[in-house]
Amino acid sequence: MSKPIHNGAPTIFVVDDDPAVLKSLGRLLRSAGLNVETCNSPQDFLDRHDPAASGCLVLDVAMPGLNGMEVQRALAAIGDERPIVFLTGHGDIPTSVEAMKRGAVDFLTKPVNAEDLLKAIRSAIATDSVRRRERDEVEEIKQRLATLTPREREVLAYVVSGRLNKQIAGELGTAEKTIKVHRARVMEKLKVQSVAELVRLAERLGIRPA
Amino acid sequence: MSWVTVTCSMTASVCATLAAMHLLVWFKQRDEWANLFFVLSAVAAAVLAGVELAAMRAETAAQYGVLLRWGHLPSAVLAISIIWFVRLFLQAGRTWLGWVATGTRMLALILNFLLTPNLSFREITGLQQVHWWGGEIVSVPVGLTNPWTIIGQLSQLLLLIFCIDAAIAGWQRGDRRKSLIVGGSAVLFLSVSMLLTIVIVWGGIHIPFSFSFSYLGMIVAMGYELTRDVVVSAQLSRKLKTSEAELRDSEERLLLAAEAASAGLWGLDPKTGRLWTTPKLLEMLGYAPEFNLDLESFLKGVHPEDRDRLRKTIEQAMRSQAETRVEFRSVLPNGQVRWFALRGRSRLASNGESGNLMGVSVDITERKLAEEALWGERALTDAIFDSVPGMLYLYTAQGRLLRWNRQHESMTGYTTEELAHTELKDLFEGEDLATVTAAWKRAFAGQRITIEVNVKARGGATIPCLLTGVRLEFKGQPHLVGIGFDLTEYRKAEQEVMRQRNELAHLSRVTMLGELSGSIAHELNQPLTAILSNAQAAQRFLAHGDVDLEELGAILADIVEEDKRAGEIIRGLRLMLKKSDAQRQTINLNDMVQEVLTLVRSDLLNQIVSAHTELMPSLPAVKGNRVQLQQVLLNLVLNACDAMRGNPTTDRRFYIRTEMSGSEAVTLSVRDRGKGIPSDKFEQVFQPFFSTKQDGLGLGLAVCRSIITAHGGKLWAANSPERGAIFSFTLPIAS
Repeated sequence: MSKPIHNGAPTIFVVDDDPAVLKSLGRLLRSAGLNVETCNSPQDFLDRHDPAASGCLVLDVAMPGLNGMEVQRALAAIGDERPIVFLTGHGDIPTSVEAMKRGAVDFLTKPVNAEDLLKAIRSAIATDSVRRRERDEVEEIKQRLATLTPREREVLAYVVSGRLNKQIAGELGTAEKTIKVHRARVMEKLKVQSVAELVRLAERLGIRPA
Repeated sequence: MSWVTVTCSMTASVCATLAAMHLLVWFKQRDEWANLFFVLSAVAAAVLAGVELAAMRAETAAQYGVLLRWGHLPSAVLAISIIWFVRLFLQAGRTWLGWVATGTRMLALILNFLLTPNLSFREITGLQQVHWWGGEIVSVPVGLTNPWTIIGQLSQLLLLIFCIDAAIAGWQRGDRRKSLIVGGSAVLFLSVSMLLTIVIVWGGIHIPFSFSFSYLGMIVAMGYELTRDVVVSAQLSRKLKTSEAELRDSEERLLLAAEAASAGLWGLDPKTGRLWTTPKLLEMLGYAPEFNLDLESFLKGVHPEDRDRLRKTIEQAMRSQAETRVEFRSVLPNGQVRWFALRGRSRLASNGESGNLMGVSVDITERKLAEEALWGERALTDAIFDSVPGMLYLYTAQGRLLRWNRQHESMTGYTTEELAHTELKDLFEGEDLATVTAAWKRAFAGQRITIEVNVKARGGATIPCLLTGVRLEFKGQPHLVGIGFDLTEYRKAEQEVMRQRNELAHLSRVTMLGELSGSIAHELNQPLTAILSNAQAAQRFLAHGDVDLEELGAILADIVEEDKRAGEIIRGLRLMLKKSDAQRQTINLNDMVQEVLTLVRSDLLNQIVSAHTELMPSLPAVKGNRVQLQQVLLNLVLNACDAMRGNPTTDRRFYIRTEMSGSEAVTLSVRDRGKGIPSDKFEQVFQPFFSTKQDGLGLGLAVCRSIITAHGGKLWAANSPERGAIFSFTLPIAS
């Protein structure tokens, strides 16, 4: 079910209802060697964008139909965590605070300086790339976790809670030796070398200690 | 009988006959003293003839002396009578000379009777019988000449001088015939008799005293003249009788005419003050027909206010011969007051003094009352005219000012005299005159006219005026009547109102733009953003060295385009913020709608309001102040947005519609989807300081209405049948 995520450079979506602004922004980003997609309305963007494609979104706040904030909410609703750089004609503080709370990378005021914009976009791309890599790793670990038998998952929960083999055997009513075998199989299946590594992985997967 | 006897007798009888005749005349006309003197002279001449005849027949010297002595008596009477006859008949001669001659003759007569034998001779020594005239033998005295006879000669000379003087005076006066015959004969015959006396008394030439012959000629000549006078006066008397009859006739006719004309005739004797009047006049004055009126009692009846004036006029009239006219009031015995007109003239009496004052009087009460009524009417219309708070004028069709009121004079500065000769071209010039002339024609064609023009005042100043005019039939002729108002103050007030309106509009505009500043800044940011991004993109392309010239050209073109766009926004903003732009220009409302929507675009986005337009294609343009009309529309749009603040974001939209309204106006309306306006507040919303917003000044709509009204349009509010309010305005299309 995983999609190819690194099949090319990240794409920068730019959404602005002002054609001249849209055109100039597209031009600027292209001059920085970025891969740009311009959309003249939020709807256009929502229709066209591919959540799997990496990159970020440069979004104008004030637009007819859906405004920038609404687009942000709409993306969140479908789980698209694409980083957003907001552009606004007049940056009012409540709006920018809300946008930042909702995870916006930056909130820039028009007319925006090229360096500032590119810096924000690079940061957004980096964020996106980290986020995507993490998500990929979690996916892989989950796949590994899926290979564990229910007994092994029980043993895993006890191990990450810091119990000794003897204690676990006592709890499960089995032999210490058996537990030792399970433990080795869990570590092998999850591709970890140490208990500490196992604990960190379990944390990422959200497995609660028993 | 001898010739001498016959001649003397004839002389005497002729003289006696003439004397008798004129004595008779004198008896009939006692005041004709000339006749009496003639009678005396003729009698004297007759007696003298007798005495002379007796003397010629005298037989002794003594007898001759006595006769000669008595002969001086008729001779003196004759001489004195002639003096006074000439004086009275010719109405000439110096009276004092007459008296001197008379006195001298009297002295000579007295001396004659004191001296013996007589004045002529000291002593008659004897008589000489001489053959005379027709072989007759007559007695002629011989003796010593009395030196005192010189007195007699002197009196004769004085008599002669008196006659010559009288004749000359009479001649010079013009009575030539009379003077020539009477004076001439007197002078001729007196000269002859004097010569005779000198010859007989001093010369010793022996001829008898025969003065009577010479006197006869004179008496006959005088008698002829006198008789002629009598005859002439008889003729005149006959004529007089006829003319008296005619006079009576004409008098009667005059009276009749006077009666018919209700005129009373009168005559005034200045000496007695007696007043003769026709019965009609007495009747008019309220007296009984036989009332005996005199000047004083007449004046008593005159109105006290007129009495002294009338008395003076009458006194003056009696002194001069000029015709007098006077009007006065009389208080009739029954208390009624009536007006009379009096005309009269004094006639010169024969003695050169002022004679009777005669004239005619007419009752003019009716005329006076009518006149007073007329004056009353005139005074009333004048008062009405003057009560008009502006110029009032009545022109003839020829353009002459016939009547006007006082304000006309005070406004234009022209005097009554000047206005009486004023024509249209004196009051207007140039374009104004053309306007007035055109309006003049329309007014006479029956239209009611109202025009605004400048009136030329005295001294060249011009006054802006509102003039009205309407055709008026007056005395059967078409006239133009109208009034004019001075618009100077009105214009000033108008300008002041305009200034204040502009000021207020500006204030309101600035306030509104303040509210819109965020939106405007955003609008300005868009092109600036595009410009900056384009420019920086270009910089980067250049820095990388991969210069695509085509791309660079496109970038620069975009930069120019966006810069222009920013410029436009700033220009519009500056216009809106500018204080007073009274210029009117041709405006397409559809374009204006787009301009305003651009201005509020980002505000609408912020408030999540959508604008919809229903613009009529090829809408006729209007004329107006672009900024102020934009302000109105902007105001209506912002009001629409405010009205929908409580609406869900999906139902915040307004509609701007343009359309024709009739054939001469366009309408623009803004319909929102707010709560609408309570129906009793449709007008109140246009009141200044009426506001539904917490932070509103309440001036917006009031200013809008004043702007639209100043553009000759109308702005009103209504509710939409579906939902919300509709604000509409109409503007007349540009001609």
